[in-house]
Amino acid sequence: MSSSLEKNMLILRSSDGEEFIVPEVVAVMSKAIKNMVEDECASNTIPVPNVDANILAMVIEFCKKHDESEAEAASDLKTFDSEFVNRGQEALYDLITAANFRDVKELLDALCQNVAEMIKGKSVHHIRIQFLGYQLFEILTSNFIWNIWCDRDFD
Amino acid sequence: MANQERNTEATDDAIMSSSSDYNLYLPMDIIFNILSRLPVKSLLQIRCVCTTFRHLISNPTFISSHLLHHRTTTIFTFKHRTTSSTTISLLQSPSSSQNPINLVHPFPNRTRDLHLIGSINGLLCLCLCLSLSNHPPHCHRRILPLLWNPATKLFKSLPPPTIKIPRRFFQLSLGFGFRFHSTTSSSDYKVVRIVSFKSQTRVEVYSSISDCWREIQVMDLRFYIHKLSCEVIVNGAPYWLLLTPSNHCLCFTWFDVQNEAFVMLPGLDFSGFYNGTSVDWKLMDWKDYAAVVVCCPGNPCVDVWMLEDPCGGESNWCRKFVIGPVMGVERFWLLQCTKNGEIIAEDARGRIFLYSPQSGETKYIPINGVEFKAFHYVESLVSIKGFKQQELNNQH
Repeated sequence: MSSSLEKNMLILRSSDGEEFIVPEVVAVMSKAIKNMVEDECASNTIPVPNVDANILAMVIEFCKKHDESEAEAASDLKTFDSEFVNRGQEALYDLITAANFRDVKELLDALCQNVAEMIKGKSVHHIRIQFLGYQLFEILTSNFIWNIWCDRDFD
Repeated sequence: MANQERNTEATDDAIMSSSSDYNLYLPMDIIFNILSRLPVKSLLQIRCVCTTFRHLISNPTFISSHLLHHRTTTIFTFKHRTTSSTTISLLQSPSSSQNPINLVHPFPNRTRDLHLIGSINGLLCLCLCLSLSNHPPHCHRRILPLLWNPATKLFKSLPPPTIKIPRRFFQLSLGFGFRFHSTTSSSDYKVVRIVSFKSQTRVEVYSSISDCWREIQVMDLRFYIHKLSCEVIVNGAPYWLLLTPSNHCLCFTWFDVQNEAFVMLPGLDFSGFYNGTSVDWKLMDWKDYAAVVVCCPGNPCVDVWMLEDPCGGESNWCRKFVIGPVMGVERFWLLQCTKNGEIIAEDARGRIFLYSPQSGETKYIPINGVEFKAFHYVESLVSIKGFKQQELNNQH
C-alpha cells in the first residue's frame, strides 16, 4: 500500500475504518494533523477518531477546494462555502464537531457563520430546540419562573 | 404577525420530536464563536434561552470578541434645516447608500440641545446643553455629558463635574477616549472636559471605572476652543487644536488616555504651500491615523496631510495624497474616511455621497439636513457601570 503511495500524500482513516488518500497540503489544513506531521509522530496512516467516513469526506472536499482555489476569485470561494455549509442540522453539527476537533479554522468559521445566520430572527423557543438539544431543553423548561421571563417580548 | 407566531410554534413541535433522539449540544467555544457573529438585537433576545447564554453575553471577553466580528459603519449627526433639531442617524452597513436609520436617543424631547462628542466601540458620548439663549454653542451654561449605547439602548448620565463654571466668560470643550487595561483586562472609557478661562485652562477627566471626575494638571497649554467637541478621536484618543500665532500654522495635541497627559504633535505650516490663501481644513481619522484634509477655494480636489511616520515621534507633516476630482461633483467637503477606504463627503448643495477612490463611483445617500458630522460606529454590547435602560415609549 505505502509503496504505491506518492510522496506528500497521507492516508486518513475515519472512525468507521474507511481510508482516504489526501495530499499533505490538504490534510495539514487541520491544525491537529499539521501538529502530528510536524512532530513526525504521524505514520502513513493517520487515524481520525470521532469522525465517520461520511463527514470526513465532506471535510476533505472543503479543504481540497480551499487549497486549490487559493488563486481563484474570493467570491467563487464564498459561493462554494455558502453552498457547502447549507446542510441539514445533523450533518451541520457533526461537521462542526469534526472541524472543531481537528481544528480546521476556515471550515469552522464558515459553519459558525451559517449557524449564526440560521439563528437570526428565530424565536427563543426555536433556538432552544436547535441549539441545546432536547434533553437540556427539558431541564430548562421545567423551571417555571424562567419560562415567564422568557415569554417577555424583547424589543 | 400573530398567525406567523402560531405557525412557528407548530413547526417547533415537529422539530422537537425529530431532534429528540440525539443530543445537539455544542461545545462552549463553538457557542461562543456562533453567538459572537450575531447582531446585538438577536443577542438581546437570545439572552433568555438559558442561563449559560445569559452569562456568556454579559461576559467582557465575549463582548470584546463580538466587537471584532462586526464591521464599522457610520453614524451621522445633522440638524433639520428649519427647526435646527439634531438627528442621529445610522448608515445600515458600510458602503450602502440605503436610507440611514434615525436613532431614538435617551432625550427625545431635547433634540435641539444635543451634541454628539464621539463614538468608541459602539458607545456614544453625547452632551445635552441647557443653554441660556443667545449664547454660542460652546458657551452654554449647563452641559450634561452622557454615555449611550444605541444598540442595547442603555445610557448613563455622568456625575456632575467638579470644576465649576464661573459667571464670566469661559470656553468649554469635551473629548471622549478609551483605553484597555491589559493587566486587569478591563475597558476604561474617559470623558475629558477642558474649561478655558481668560487666564488659565483647567482639565478634568471622568473615568468609567472610578465613576468620578478628577482634575489633572496641564502644563500651560493654550487650547483653541471653537466648538464643544474635540476635533476628532483616533484610536481612542481625542485631539484638540492649540492656539498658534499664525492662521496657517496648525498645532494639535492629543490626550494620552492611559497616562492622562496631553501629547503634542508637530506643527503643520502650509502657508507656503497654498500661497497664503485661506483654506478650509479639518482633522480626521484616516484609517486609524490622524490626518488633516485641506480644501482650497477653486480646487475640486481635497489634499490629505499626514505625518510622514505616523508611529514615530519626530516626523513632519507631508501631503500624502489627493482625493478627487469626483465625477459630476464640482466641489465637495470630506466628512469621513470609512474603514474600507471609501469617502463620505458633502457636495456644494449639501447632499451626502459615498465615493470610492478606487473605482471612482459615487452613491448618494438619501439624507436631508445641514451641519453634517460623521463618526465611526460599530454596534456592540459594551456597557459601563451604572447603565440604565432608556425609555422607549416614543419609539413607534
